[in-house]
Amino acid sequence: MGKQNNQRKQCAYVACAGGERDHTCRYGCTGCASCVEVCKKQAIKINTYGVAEVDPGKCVGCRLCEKACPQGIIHMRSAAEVFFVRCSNREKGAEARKACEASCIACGLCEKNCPSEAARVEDGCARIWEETCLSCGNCVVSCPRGVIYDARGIIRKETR
Amino acid sequence: MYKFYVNDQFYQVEGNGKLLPFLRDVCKCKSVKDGCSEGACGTCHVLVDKTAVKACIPTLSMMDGRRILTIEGFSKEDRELYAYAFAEAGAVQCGFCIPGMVICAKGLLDVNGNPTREEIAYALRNNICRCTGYKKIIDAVELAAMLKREGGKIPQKEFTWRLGERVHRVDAREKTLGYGEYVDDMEADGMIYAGAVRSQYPRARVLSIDTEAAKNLAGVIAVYTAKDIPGSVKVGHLVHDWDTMIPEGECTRYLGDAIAIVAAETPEILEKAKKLVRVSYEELPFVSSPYEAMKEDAPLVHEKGNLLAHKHVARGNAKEAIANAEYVYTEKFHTPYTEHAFLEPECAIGMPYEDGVLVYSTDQGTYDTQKECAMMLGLPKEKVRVVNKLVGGGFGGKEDVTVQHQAALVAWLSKKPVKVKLSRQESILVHPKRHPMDMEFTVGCDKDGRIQGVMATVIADTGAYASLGGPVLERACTHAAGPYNYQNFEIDGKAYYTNNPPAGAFRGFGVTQTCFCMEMMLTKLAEMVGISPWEIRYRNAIRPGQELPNGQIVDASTGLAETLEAVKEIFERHPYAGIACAMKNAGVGVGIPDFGRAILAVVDGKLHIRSGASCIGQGLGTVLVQMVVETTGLKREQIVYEGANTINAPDSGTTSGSRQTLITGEAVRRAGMLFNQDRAQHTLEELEGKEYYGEYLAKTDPLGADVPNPVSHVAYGYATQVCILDEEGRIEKIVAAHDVGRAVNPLSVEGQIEGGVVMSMGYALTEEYALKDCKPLSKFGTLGLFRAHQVPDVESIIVEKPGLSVAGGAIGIGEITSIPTAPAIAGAYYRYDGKYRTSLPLADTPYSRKKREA
Ligand code: FES
Ligand code: FES
Repeated sequence: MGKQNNQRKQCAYVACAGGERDHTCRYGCTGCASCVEVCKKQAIKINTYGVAEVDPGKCVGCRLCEKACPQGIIHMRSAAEVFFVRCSNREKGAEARKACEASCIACGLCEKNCPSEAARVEDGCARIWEETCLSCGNCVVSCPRGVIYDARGIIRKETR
Repeated sequence: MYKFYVNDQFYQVEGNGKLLPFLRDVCKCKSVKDGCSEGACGTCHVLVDKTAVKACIPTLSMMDGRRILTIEGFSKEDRELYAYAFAEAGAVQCGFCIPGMVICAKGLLDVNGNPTREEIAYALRNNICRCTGYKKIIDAVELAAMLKREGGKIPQKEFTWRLGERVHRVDAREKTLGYGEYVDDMEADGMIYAGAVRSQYPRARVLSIDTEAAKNLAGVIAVYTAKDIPGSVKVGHLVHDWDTMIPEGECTRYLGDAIAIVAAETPEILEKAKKLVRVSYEELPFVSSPYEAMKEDAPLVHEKGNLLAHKHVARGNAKEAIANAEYVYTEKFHTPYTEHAFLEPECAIGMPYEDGVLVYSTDQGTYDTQKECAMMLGLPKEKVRVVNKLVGGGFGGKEDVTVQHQAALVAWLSKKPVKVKLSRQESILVHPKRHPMDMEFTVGCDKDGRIQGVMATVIADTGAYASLGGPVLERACTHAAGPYNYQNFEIDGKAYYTNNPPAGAFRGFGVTQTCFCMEMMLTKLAEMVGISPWEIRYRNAIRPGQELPNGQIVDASTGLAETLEAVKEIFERHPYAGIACAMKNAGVGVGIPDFGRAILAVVDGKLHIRSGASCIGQGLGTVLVQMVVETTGLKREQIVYEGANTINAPDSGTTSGSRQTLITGEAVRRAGMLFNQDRAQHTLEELEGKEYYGEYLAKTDPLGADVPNPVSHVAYGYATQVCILDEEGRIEKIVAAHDVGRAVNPLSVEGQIEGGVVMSMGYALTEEYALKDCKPLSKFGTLGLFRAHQVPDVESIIVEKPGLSVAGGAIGIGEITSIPTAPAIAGAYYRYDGKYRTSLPLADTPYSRKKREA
């Protein structure tokens, strides 16, 4: 199980999507670009929202960015596991909502809709356990805040 | 407005909705199966822009601008490639998971033409298969990759189709390419949809049922309650204790009880209407365990009392033998509920037909369904016709009626064709599970480890309804003795009704439970005596001509010792190896008339096999075709296998008790002999229209028959399995040696072994059917079913030993594959970490669930 997964190609992701307006979140990406500097593959850049974003096509899973991040919000995932959470905010409800418009508010809908107990809210923020994830996308569809992403871009929050 | 392509066909749609029903209902891509609609099973995989995606979660809006591919849209080359590879590898059993597997395989092979087995398994990790244990599916993908690399030329294989040949299953192609029809794939003009409003409480009195609001909803056709049932409200496989619907004034017995059945024009309206049925209840205290049930003042689940069955089996003098034994050991054991988790949820279509009804079903016994539906409708049996479609797995869980009688009722009352389909969560709640059992064993042996006597007790939770609880308890008791040569045995078993979901038949039929105990006892005694776990079994193993503890003298086909010899070396080579043996009857036995029946009919110059015996994925059709070829010498192309039905196929009993290969196989062989007599004088064309009827009665003696050596069963299969752990305590390999008399199709036999072993790895290590206050908490995705990338290698060793005079010597293997696995695994852990585990699933292994903090 775990053993086999660990042997697979890893890929970094930034657990913050930033907001379109000024965000006051103290957990998220500050745009300091430490990760950009250490990355030898130019696989990471600061995007239009001012937060770091990994290009999975370029990332080789060397973990340098993970170590460099002062906020501790860059994590690794198996490259083949496509769903991940792009938020690190640990506040709940209104507090989290105030901090950023793309924040996890710990509502637990992902957890409730996950068929395999892989999506869980822990410490005020959603998290996906690869070992039990069945790659269905229920968490993405059910998240009211659009916090959970499909790396392939197929499953997304309903816009209409 | 969303625009996308499905199999190169352009679609432009206005409204939004889920992708899966769109593909099935609008595009008619029936290869995309609906096994759960909740993202957990993987049967619905499709390729979206070349990536495998589960179709039951995304909506059409997400498909805007994308290209969707299902098997229907595969190129001819790809269709041939996968159809061949899956058939050749023996990867197809019930077939319900297979199209999803093919999709994920193609998704992989299109980007990686030479994947490792590990990469293949990983690509299939989101597809659950309950039948095959994944090994042969991975073989199939490997083979497809190889053929593709070599230019995609499909080898032309010639088979004689005689017994013993690794032929391609007759249904492999239709199942792989997804055009074979399961009930849910059928359509009918004007079809309506029905479903049940189920009880809110495990035990409550139904005071009143108000159906007005539901009836007034536009699109609702009718709402039925028990008052509308023309015949008997109660049905049941053996004991008629199961209410089709709970009448007003009566008590519910579990959360799966139907209170009302709603019929509506669409599935969506049906769901809305179900919520509008108002039921008022008087909540009553419930019984959640057999220990509560046996209390004197316990609430009564059924009026006649909470004890469903009491079995006492005794021979010789166990007490005295144990008192005089050199070594004696006593231990308590517990085994849990298990969910069958077949990939195809229950589904039936009923329709008015002549002066009765026709039910299309996914069924382990069409004649059982006919009997129960007729009883409920108050009609003579002939007026209820039952036709089996492909069955997407059963494992014992489709022996009882769940949707069939509801479909029959709505069709009869509304005079419209109707589909009744359980949601995955309903399926998990409604159909009978494997019995949880508490057992206590005392075994005494002499100084050399020879068993002197065994005494045991069994307490089983049979849940809300009898189902097959009585026979399961009986088989648990009769087989508790194990496949050993000793004569003093006494066991007392009781099965109690509770308000839990019912327990009934499940692959192994009670023996999975008691075998775990007896084998763990032997492992312990071997240690006390100072011999190896292999040695103690070999010394006690039953051999031809000896008497089993039940008194039956076993025949020449008895090959337990050979299965032990086959695994001796591998067992002794590994420090962390566990071993267990098992026996399992083929055929119902114990004096119950057990008939196999078949008709061979000459139609359009071909010989048609007609038998009411259900193929539930194990491959019965292929077995019967091989039997006919072997008997008649006809060619495969001259033979047509028809599915089970009550219209033109005679009753050949339930697919249960590993009986069909032997019992229906023999009936077919007999019909073939009759055909041969005519054939000697005539050409096949001259015999047009003729029918040959074969019947076989597997005659046995009742339990406790007053004869010195009663024949309890016409045949037994024997097995030894070895589990090998690696340094980290993970399973490296399971070796399973099975005595099958004669392997009709070794490829299928291996498939049964691999699938049965992996199923019981789940039973031993990961599976859980959690109940709280009689309510199942588990979902399909949390049952703990093994996934493709988690299974170790399973090596099958087939031992063939002649001696059985019927069915070409073939003994059914359906169940025994699942029986010795758990104790073999537990034995391996005992050697690994010294912990003697007595309950399942085994605690403290690398496979144990990490407990969630509440
Ligand atoms: S039907 Fe989609 S995963 Fe089960
Ligand atoms: S063949 Fe895979 S579930 Fe039956």
